[in-house]
Amino acid sequence: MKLFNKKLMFVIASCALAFGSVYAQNTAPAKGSHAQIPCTTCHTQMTPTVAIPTTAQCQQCHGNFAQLAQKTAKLNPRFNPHDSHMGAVDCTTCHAMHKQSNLMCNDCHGFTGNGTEMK
Amino acid sequence: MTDKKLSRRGFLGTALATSTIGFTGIAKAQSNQTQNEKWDKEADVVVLGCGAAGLMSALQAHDGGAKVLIYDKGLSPYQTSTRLNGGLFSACNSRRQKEKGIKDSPENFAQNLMDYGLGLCAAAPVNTFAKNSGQCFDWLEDHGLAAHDLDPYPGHNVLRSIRQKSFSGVDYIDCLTKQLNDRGLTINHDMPLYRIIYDKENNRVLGVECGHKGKTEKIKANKGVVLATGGLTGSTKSVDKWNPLYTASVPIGGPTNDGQAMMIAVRDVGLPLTHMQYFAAYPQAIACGPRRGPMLRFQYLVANGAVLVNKDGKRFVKETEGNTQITPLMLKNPDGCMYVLMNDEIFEKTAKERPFGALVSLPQWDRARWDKEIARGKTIVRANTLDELADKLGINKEGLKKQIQDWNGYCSAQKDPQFGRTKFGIPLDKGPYIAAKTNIWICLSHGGFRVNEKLQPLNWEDKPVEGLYAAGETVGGVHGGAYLGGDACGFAHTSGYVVGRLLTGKEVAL
Repeated sequence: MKLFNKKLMFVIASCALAFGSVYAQNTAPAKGSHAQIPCTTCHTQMTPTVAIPTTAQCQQCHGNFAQLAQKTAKLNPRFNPHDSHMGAVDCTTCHAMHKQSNLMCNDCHGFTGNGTEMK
Repeated sequence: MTDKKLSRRGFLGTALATSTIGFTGIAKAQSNQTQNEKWDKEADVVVLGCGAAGLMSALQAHDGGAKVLIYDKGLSPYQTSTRLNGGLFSACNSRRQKEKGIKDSPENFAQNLMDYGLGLCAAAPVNTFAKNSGQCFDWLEDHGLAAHDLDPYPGHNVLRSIRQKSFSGVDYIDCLTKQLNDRGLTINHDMPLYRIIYDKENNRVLGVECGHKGKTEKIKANKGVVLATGGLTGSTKSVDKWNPLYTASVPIGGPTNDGQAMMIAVRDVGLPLTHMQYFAAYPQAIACGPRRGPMLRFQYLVANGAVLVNKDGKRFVKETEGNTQITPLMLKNPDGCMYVLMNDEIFEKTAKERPFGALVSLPQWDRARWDKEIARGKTIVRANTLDELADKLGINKEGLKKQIQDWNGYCSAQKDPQFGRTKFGIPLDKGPYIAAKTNIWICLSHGGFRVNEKLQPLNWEDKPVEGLYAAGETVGGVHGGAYLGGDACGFAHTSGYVVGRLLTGKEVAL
């Protein structure tokens, strides 16, 4: 009976994920351009326990740290979020797709201006 | 360097040339295990790490005539723990002290360290530090260190700590890197220690392999290798690994300070470690983010009247106690935190007395960032009444009101029957009130190698390993069980100074 329940749950979860994630029902839809792409683009491992995309996953589309650092080199004269003393930080430390993002630099620092108010 | 050059004669020649640094035994031929090493580079001294300890040892060794190569895991000396220092250097018999006619002695300094460190300090490195710290600081002063002055610090029984006007370790790195550039020395960055090449039979380190797997360099060190690779405060993982009490702490440190190099020394040389569970744990982190945030120098607020209370609203300590001695008491509070309670008058007075970046620091805040944190209302709150303040932070209302009523009575009587505080400042009899919640803030680890007075790591049978020196945070036990301010920065520089001089036969006080 227990085994049957687990199997059933898996089938239900799989169906739900195929038609729009069960998580998506409990969270805001993805922001910006990410709303236009299938959930599975980022959430490649569709098990209930592994939901957060890895940095490698993000970088498949967005480029590596060196490329990102170049893009944000002139964002703000006081800091470059992709080239900081913290090194290769996980993307999801700052970037969130289903909730407010948070610039981790300002957990400690007091930077102002461009790049400090994340969506 | 080829293996031919490492013949028995060549090795003996090296041994004789370095006899001044304590290579006392008659060197045997290298063991089979190490004689076939193919070296990519060769130097007299190989320094690992580029904080105060690493750079100071490199400069002293260079000035003593040694060929020096520097390797570092990180990307810049401005990412080391030295950069994150608050600009405080404790030194005994510095020129500054002598000019002011302050009587101090290495024995007195060492005793202060030992007393504050709960009697758990390792005597050998403490003595070496105490005896050479003044001379080391004078060297910095003679080589362009930015403005500074003596500043009293609790735990030191004489005026001996020297504070940078900037309140920032950036001054030391500015000074040391300028000296480095003037001498044409460079740092090989992104080159972490990969392996220590150790001749077990002769108990001697011959060199190191640095870099990443599949892309390493082997560097022969004719006189010695300096392990100045820093401590454990670069990540939450490396702190949590050694001390379960600090798993809610805010560790700051160079991002590469993960203790990996120390563990490589355990693996390759079999060095034992000591004091690994001890950290400089300050009760003053404003945890704005998950285990991230700056440090509030609450002592400045206390000097004007602020009190420290717990979640029950009760004072739990004499607020003027040394800050790292408050830590264990704070950990016993219901939520392991404390609340720095003041009113607008106390806050504004304190904010006017010194730069805002000295009040909230590492990194330094300005007033706007403080106000923003109040607006967020999570770690710092402001309210017109104590009731409202207690609500916002979840502090016990009745407890807090009773405590503050009592405290104001103590202020009138100028007597604190609760904890014996003798300086009262402005009473807390009118709002608006401000409270800042603080957690443990960690900037230094005490754990590392056991060393002798020459700062040579001791092996499993307590014998110094030849050709290897430890400097800075890799030396275990300097600060014992509790950290006394200004000693980490002082020890980092002084240990580097001593090692660099020892490696080139210069005089040091031992």
